[in-house]
Amino acid sequence: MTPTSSPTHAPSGRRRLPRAVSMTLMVWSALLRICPRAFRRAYAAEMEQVFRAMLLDAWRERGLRGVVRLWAPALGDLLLGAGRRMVMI
Amino acid sequence: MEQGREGSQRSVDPEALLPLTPAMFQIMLSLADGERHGYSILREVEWHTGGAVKLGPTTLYRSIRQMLAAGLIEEAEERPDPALDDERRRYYRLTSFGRQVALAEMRRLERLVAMARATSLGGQAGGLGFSAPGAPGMGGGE
Repeated sequence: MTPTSSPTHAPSGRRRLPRAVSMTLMVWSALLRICPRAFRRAYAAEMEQVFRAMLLDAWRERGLRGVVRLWAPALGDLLLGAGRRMVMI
Repeated sequence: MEQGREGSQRSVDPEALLPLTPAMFQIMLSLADGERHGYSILREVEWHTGGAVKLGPTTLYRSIRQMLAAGLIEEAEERPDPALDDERRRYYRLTSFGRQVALAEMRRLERLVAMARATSLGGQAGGLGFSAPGAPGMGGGE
């Protein structure tokens, strides 16, 4: 898989995400549920937007490898951040 | 959202909020020259630190939430270019109280570095300055 092959465009002209990006985003969004509800309600949409942009940049720069390299730090950020929030509340 | 609290923070001593977390201080530095949205803040922090600090979305928005609550930053009501921008994006900017706190943090760090330079370690560091300890990963060095 190479970054030049994607993102592709659907026939309708709507931008389709590379599968590696959409799958990562899906799993990450599901994991966001560990964050407190009030925090999610306020920031989940923006956080997803930011993570999506990070994934797309990584895809453009390094392809699948770039996306995979984001997994561990993204998971750490989510778990630590969510954990800290829970402790604080 | 936690907006319009700047007025209530005026009586608070900026030094009382120190030390800031590295993530908060980096976010404030990225907002020093104007308002930015979340992703722009991340990129600016990464660029500013030569890639040593990479904030993740959770760290970023947890910090943003705390900074809004403390009156250090606020949401910008006007968007730089509504026609070209995603309407879901929120822009953030430093409040004047936030500037005072950032300056107080700078002074604190300067005092700390001056103190370190006065020790025998400072002699070993020479005139090249210290190399900042890296904060790899997305945790923002917190």
